[in-house]
Amino acid sequence: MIFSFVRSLSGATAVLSVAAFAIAATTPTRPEMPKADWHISGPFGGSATAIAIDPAHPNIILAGARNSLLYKSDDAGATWRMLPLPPRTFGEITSILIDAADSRHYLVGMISTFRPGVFESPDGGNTWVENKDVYDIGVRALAASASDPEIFAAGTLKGVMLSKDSGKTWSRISDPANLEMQGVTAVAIDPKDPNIIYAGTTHLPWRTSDGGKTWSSIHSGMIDDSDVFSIYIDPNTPKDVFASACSGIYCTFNRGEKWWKLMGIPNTSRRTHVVREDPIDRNILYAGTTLGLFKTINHGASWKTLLSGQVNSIAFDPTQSKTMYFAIEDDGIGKSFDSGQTIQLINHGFVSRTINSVTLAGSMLYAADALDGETTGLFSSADRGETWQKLPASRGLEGVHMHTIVGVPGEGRILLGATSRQLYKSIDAGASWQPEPIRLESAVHSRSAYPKGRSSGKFRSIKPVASTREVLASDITALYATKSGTKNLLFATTDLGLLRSGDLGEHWTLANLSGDTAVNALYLSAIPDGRLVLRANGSLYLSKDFGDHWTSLFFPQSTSHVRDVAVPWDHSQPLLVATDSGLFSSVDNGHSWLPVSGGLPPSTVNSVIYSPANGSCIYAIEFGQLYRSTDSGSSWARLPTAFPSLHVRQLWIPDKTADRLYGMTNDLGILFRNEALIR
Amino acid sequence: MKTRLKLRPISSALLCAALCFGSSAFAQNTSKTKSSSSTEDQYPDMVELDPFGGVSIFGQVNRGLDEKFITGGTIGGRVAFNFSKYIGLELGYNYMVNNVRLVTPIQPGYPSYDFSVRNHMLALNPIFNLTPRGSRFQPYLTVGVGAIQFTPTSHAEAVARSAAAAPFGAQSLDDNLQVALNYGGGVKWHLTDHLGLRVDVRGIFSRNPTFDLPNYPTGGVYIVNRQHLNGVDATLGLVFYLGKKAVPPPPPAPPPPPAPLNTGTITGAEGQLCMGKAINLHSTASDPAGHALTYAWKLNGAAQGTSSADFSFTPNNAGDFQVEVTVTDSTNPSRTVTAGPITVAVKEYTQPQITGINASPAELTCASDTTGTHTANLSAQAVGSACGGNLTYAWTVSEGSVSNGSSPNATFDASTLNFEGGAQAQTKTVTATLTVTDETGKSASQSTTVTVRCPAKMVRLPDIVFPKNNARVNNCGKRILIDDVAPKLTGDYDVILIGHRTADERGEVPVRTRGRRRAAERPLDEERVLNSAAVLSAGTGTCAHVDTSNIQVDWVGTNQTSTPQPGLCGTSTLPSSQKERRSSRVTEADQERRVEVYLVPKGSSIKPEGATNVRPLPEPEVKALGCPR
Repeated sequence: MIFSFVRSLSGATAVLSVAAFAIAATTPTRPEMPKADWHISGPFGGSATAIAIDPAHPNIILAGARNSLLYKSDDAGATWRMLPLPPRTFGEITSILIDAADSRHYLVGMISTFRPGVFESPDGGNTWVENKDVYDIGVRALAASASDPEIFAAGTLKGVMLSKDSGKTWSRISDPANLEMQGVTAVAIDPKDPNIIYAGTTHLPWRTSDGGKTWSSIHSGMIDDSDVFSIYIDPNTPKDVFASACSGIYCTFNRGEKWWKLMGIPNTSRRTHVVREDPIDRNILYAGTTLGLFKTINHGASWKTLLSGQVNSIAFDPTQSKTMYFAIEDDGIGKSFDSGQTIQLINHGFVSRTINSVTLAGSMLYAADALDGETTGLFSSADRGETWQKLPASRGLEGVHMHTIVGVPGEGRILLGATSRQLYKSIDAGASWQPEPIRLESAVHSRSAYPKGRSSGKFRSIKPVASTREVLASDITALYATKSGTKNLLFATTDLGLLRSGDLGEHWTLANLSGDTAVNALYLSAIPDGRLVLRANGSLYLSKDFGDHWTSLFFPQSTSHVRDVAVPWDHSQPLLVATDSGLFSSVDNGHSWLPVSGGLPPSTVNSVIYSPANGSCIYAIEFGQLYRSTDSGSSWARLPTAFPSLHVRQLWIPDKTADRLYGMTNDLGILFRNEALIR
Repeated sequence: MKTRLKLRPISSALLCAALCFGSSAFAQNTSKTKSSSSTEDQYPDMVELDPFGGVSIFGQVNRGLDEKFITGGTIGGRVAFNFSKYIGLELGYNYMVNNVRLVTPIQPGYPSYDFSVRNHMLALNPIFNLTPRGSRFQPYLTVGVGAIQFTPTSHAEAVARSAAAAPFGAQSLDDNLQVALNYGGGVKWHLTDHLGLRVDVRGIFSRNPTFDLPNYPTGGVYIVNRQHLNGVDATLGLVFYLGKKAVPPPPPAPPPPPAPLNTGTITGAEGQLCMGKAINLHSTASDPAGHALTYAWKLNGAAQGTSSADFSFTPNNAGDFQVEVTVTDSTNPSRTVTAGPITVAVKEYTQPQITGINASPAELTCASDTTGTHTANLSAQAVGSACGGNLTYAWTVSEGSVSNGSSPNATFDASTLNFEGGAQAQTKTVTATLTVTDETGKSASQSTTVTVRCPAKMVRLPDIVFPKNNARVNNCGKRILIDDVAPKLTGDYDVILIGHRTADERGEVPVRTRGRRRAAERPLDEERVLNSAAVLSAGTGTCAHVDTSNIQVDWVGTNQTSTPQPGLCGTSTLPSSQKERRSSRVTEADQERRVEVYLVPKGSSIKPEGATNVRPLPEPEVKALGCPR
C-alpha cells in the first residue's frame, strides 16, 4: 500500500556535510530506545533557530528550533536528545541562556501565538516552568551580564525586561509609553558595567547607561528602518559594539554614539541575523545571514563565504576558540573545528524539519520536505526508516516546493510529486524531475442516435470517442498509488476532483462525483481490493472498484471534521472514520454510523488504521496516545509510551510485510514502533 | 672456715624453701581471700598450740678445736596468741639433741672429743602473718629472742670427769646458757577449724657455748669462747586452734508477707473501636512490692501469646469481644490477680464511597478561543463510615490543572491544555478523577470527563503599515512576513493578505517590475498586497520562499471594515540611501494604510472580516516584482 501525507509533517534530514569533512568517523551509533515504544527516526536535521554552549562544560550544548523544540547534547553535538519544554502553538525558540553561575540553570526565550515567554529549568533541562513575570510576552533575545552573573536581560515584544536574581523575577526597564521600544529584537549587557544595556528593535537600537532608567536612541550612522537582529559587545573593549540588521552590519567604537557600516560583503540583499567577534583575534568577524555564513579577517574590509545556508545563531567553544557551532536554517546544527573553514552537520537526534509527504517505492521509503530552502527536500531510506539520506539536489526542482510525492508499487525508480498546481515525475528515483501536464481524458460515451441524415427510424449505436485536453489544477492536495491486479493506478485529489491514471500519470480521468468537485483526500484499504473512500468537500464517497463508481456515504458530520478513514481489507470489519470529536464506525458500508467508545475517549482521533497483518487489529492515535483494538474496535487499550506529549498526526503501515507502525508528527518527523512488539 | 661457709647456704636454702612454700601457700590463700575473709573469724584462731618436731642443724665454730654441734632432732611446742588480724605473739620451746664434737684432736693421734648435749631453747616471737587471721593458709615471718640452755648429758659429764678422760682436761664440763636470736617463717594450714599443720624454718643465732671448758689451749680440750653459733631448725608440727569459733550472725528476720497485687484495669477499650483496625489494650496492674509481673491475656476465653502488659489485636468483624488478663508475680507465682473480663465493643467499618461526581459544564473551549469557557466546576459526594474517620479529597486530571483540588468541589482549568498547532478543530477529553481516602487509608475513586473543544480558527498577525501613498514593505513588515508568517506556512495554513488604502491617498500607483517603474498603474492597495506577497515568496536573501499556492490575497480599497491592528511596526520606509532617521511610530492615519495578515486553515471556509474577494495570488504579477527592497 502506498500512502502519501498531505499535511505538514515535521521531519528531519539525514546527516549532511556541506564541507569536505569526514563525517563517517564522527557519526555516532543510534541511541538505545525502548523497543516497545516510538523510535524517533528522523530524517534528522531541519531548522535550528538558536544555539548556546555551557561555558563551564563545553560539551553541553543546547539548540532550539521552531515547534517549541529544544535539544541538548552532552557530547559536543555528537548526539542530541529532546528536552521536555512545554509546547506552545507556533512556538519558536529565539534565545537560550545557560547560567554561567549554575550550569544546570537554563533559560529559554520563546515567541508563539499562545503563551510565549521565558521558560526556566533548574535541573539541566529535565523540568521547565514558565516565568510568571514574562508570562504571555514574546521573547526574542536573552543576555547575561559578564560582570554580574545574576543580571539577565530579555528583549521582548513589550520592551526590555531585567532580572537581578538570575531570572527568578523580571521587571520592565524600558518605558512602556515609548512605542518605539516595544518590539525589542536584540539585547546585550556591557560586560564590565551592567548598567549599560543595548536594545535592538525592529527600527534601530537603543541604549541605557543607568540600568534602564533612561534610554536613548543610538542610530547615528545607521540606515533608517534597520531591523536589528543582534547586538554584540567586545568583551575586552566594551566601547566597541556590533549590530547586525537587515540593512547590514554596523560597528561603533563609542558605545553607539556613532555607527559605521561594515562594507565588503558582496550582494547587500541579505538579513544578518547574528554577528560575532572571534574570541582570539578581534579582526576576525563572523556574520550569519540569510544568504549564508561570512567571515572577515580584516575587520570587515573583505568577507569570505563559509556556508551558503542561512545561519541564525553562532556559539563558540570557550575552551577551543576555533571550535564553533551554528544554528542553521533547514540544515540544523553545524560544527567547525577550524574557525568555520569547514563545517559539518551534527544532527544525530536533532529533528525539526517539516516532512509533507512520505511514500514507499519499491523497497525504498521516500519523504519530502516542501520547503527546504529554495527547493524541495527529498529523503530516502533503504532500511524502512531506520536511517534517512538526503537525495542530492534534484534536477528540475529548483524553486519547486512539492508537498506530496508518491511511489509506484513495484516501480522503485518512478516517483510522482506535485505542488499545488503542477505535477512532476521522476523516473530515476528522484534524481531528476520533469513537470507533467495533466492530460485529462474525457470519453464521449456511446449513445444512440438516428442514422445520419435521418430523423427517424431505428437508433444506432455510435462508438465512444475519447478526447484529451490539458487542464490546470490550482490545488493538488495529494497523490496516491495502488495496484489493481497488475495495473498500477495513480490518484490525485485536486480542486478539479479526483484524478485517476492507469499509465503512470501520462493521462488522467476524472471521477464522477455527482456534484462534488474539489476533493481533499483519498483513503485506501491496507490490501488493495478496490475499496476506496474519498473525502470531498461535501461528502464521503465509497468505491468498490478502484474508483470506477462512487456512492455517497451518509456520514453524520461535515467532512471538514474528518481526520482519517480506515478502510478494512477484511470486509467483515467496520469502516472507521476518525474525526476531531472521536471515532465513528459503520458496519454497513457507511449507511449508518455509531461513535466508537470501549475505552477510546471521544477526543480528536488524528488517525486510524487497520493492520495489514491482522484484519481485526486497529490502531488509533489521539494526539500522542496510541490505542489498539484487537476486536474490530469493540474495546481499546492504551499503549504505554515514554513520549506522552508527542502529537502523532498520521499512522501508516506501508505494506503487509512491514512489521512497523509509523507515526508522523507535526514536529518530530517520522516515528516508528515495531508492530509485532505491540500487537 | 670451710664448714662455716657450708652451713650458711644450707640454712639460707631452708629458710628460702620455707618462705617459698609460705608464699605459694599465701598465693593459694590469696585466691580464696575473699571467701576466707568473709569467714575469717569462723576459725578459732585466737590461740594456737603447736607441737612440732624436726631437725636441728648447727654450724661449726672454726676456732680452737673446731666446736661442732652434730645435726640432731628437735621437738617442742609453741603457744601463740593472735591478738590482731595479722600479728600474734608466740612463746616457743625447743628441745634439741645436738651432740658436740671437737673436730680437731688435742694432739695428733688423739681422737676427737665428742660429748652428748641437749639444748633447751625458749623464745618469745612476734608472728607476722601474711594473710588475715582465719585464712586457710597463713604464711608468716617472725624474729624473736630467747635463750638456749646447752646441757651436756649426765653421762657426758660423767665421762668427762672420769679418770680415763683426765688427759682431756674436761672435768669442768657443764651447762651453758646463751642468749639466742631466732628468725624465720613458715606456713600454717587449717585442716579443720581446730587443727592444722605448720611448717616452720627458723634460723638460730647465739654465742657458742664453752660448757665451762677452758677457753684457751691448756693441753686438753678447750673451746674458744665468744664465737658465734648459727643454726637452723626445720620443723613440722600440728596446730591446735583454741580460739573461740565465731558466732554466725543471726538469720535475718523473715520479711513480712508482701501486699497483694493491685489488679488495676484494662485500658484501651475506650472510644471508637473498629473492625480491621488494631485495638491496643493495656493492663494497669501493679505490685506494691515492685516485683516483675507477667501477664496472661485471654480473648474470648482463648489464651493469647503475649506476656506483656500490652496486648493488641485486630478484629476482623464487628461485635463484642471479651478480654481478661491474669497478672502474676514472676518471683512468686502464688501471687496472682485477674482483671476482667471486659467487653470490647467493635464497630463495623465500610470503605468510603463516591455517590456522585459531576463536571459542570462538561464542555469547555481551549484557551486560544478567548470567547469560550475555560473552567469547569468539579463536584462530588462521598460517604465514609464512622470507623473510617474523616475523608480527604484529591482531584486529578489527565491534563490541565485543578484548583482547590483537596475539597469536594474543585475547579478544572482547561487553559493549560496543549493542543496541536494545527489548523483543524480539535477535541480533547480530559478525565477528572476524584480519590476519596478515609483515615484508615482506604480509598475510592471515580472519574468524570470534560470535553475541551478547540475550534479551527485563523490567526491574525500584526498589520503591515505603510506611509501615505507608499507601497514599500519596510523592514519591520518584512520581519512579520519573513520571520513570523513564512515559517508557519508548512502545510496546515494559508496566508491571506488584505490590502487597504485611505481615501486621501492616490488610488493607483505606477507598477514596478523588479524595482523599476513601469508605465502601467495598479491600485495602491493591490500594490501593497502584491509587494507583501513578493516578500513572502520571492526567495533570495531578503525574501522568504513560501509557495505561492499558500498565499491568497484581497484588496479592498478604502474599505476599513476590519479594525486596524498595527502591532509594533511603524511606517519608516526610507530607502537605505537616505540616512535620516524617521520615527517608527504609527500615526492614526497610517494605521489604515495597511495590509492585514491572516493565517487561515488550509482548505477552510474561514474568511477574515472585511474580506470581499479572497482569490489566489496572481503569480505572474508577483513574480514580476522580484524581491522588493
